Amino acid sequence: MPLTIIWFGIGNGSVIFVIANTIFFASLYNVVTGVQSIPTSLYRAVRSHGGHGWSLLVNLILPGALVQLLLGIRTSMAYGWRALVAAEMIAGSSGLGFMTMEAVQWQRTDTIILGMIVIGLIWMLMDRTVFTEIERRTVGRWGLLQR
Amino acid sequence: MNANKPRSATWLGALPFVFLLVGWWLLPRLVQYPAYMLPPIGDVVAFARESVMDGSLLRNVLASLARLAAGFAIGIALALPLGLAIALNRHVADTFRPVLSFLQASRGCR
Repeated sequence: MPLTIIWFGIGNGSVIFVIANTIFFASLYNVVTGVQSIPTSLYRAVRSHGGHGWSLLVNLILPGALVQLLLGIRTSMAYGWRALVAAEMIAGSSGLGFMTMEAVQWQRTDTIILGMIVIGLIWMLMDRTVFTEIERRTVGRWGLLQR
Repeated sequence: MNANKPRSATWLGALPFVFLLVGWWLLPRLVQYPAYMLPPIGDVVAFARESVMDGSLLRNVLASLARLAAGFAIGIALALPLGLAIALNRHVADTFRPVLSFLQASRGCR
């Protein structure tokens, strides 16, 4: 964060850098483990049917890792949302995190509480409408989830 | 991922929120404390209405969401190809694993 502020200043640049960072690391390991969880025999099967390069990627790797990829996107968004609020508190000049942190100076507890409620509600809404729905329509329907 | 979740689950999920709200409503009636520590529900609702009306809340929400979208696009655009490369190629993995774990640990102080 300190170096980020020196490089990007207070405002958009810093906050976006921090979120991109958070999302990058949170999703990277899910991509890696997702792809590595595909059994080697499936690679051999696709290769023996002449699949390689692009078709290997589209037909095996992406669908094979999809459960983990979506999980990664979902968790990285959750981390990203939290990081966003925190980053805005330190280096923001607008936004929900900034709004709640600025309220401290004026002891506007109502602003802080409202910010907490809105931050929580937005995440609940995003998770319910976007991610659960995507999972249900893709991996859920294709029977890839074991629950 | 239960598609037809029973309706009772929704109600059960709402229960803790009801407790929180009731507690928040009861607290100033049971204990004495200055209002700036925890304003009563009515004040927060009034302030919520005010900040929705003057558009300041929406402006802040949109500013935050736009940043999240931008950060997400950049993060995923980097993580997906690099993650694929690490998973599929041992040399790439050997190259990046150590530096990534170093960077991840020092992420907070960058």
